[in-house]
Amino acid sequence: MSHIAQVETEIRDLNALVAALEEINPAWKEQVIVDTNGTTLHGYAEDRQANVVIRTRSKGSFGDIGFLRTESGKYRLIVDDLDLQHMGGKSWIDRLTRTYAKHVILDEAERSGQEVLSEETRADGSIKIMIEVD
Amino acid sequence: MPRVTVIIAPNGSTTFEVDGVKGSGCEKVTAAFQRALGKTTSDRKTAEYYEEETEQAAERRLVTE
Repeated sequence: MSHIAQVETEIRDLNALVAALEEINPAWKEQVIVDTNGTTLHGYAEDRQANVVIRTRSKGSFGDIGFLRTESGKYRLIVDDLDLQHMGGKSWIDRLTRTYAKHVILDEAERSGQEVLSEETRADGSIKIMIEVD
Repeated sequence: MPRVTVIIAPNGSTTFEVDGVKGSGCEKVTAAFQRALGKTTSDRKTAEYYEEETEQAAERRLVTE
């Protein structure tokens, strides 16, 4: 072993974000609207602008779920508190973050031509990926 | 072939462990992954890294002697 690095995951990659949303909620497949210029998110109390929107308001939720790209390049979740609670609260955000991280790593491995040897989700929800590199 | 073990914790923070690369080359192996993913909060070298550095230093000494 020659080095160990720890990285705090930041949601910055639009493709990996959409892939993660569709993976954790298959019903959202083909329903994630992406607009880098901004599109309307129908919230519970008011409409807002967002770059990623899922039209959950018309399906029984208090509002749409979406993400806004901030100046720093990170995507910020926009969701009604009660809708988030219903989805599982922080555990939903954690699940989205780790699923996003998995997609970023698999995409980067493919982009740079590295071979993914294995991918495994463990009992505690953590994900282990082995990659062979040149 | 060097191997990278990636562990994504339940909260999404991620650890990269590089195996089988000696010396400073091992940082390049995961740099692109780290950049793509977010902010590196810690990066430490382990025994094998220093082992190779020491061997290189020893070789340099032999050459100059």
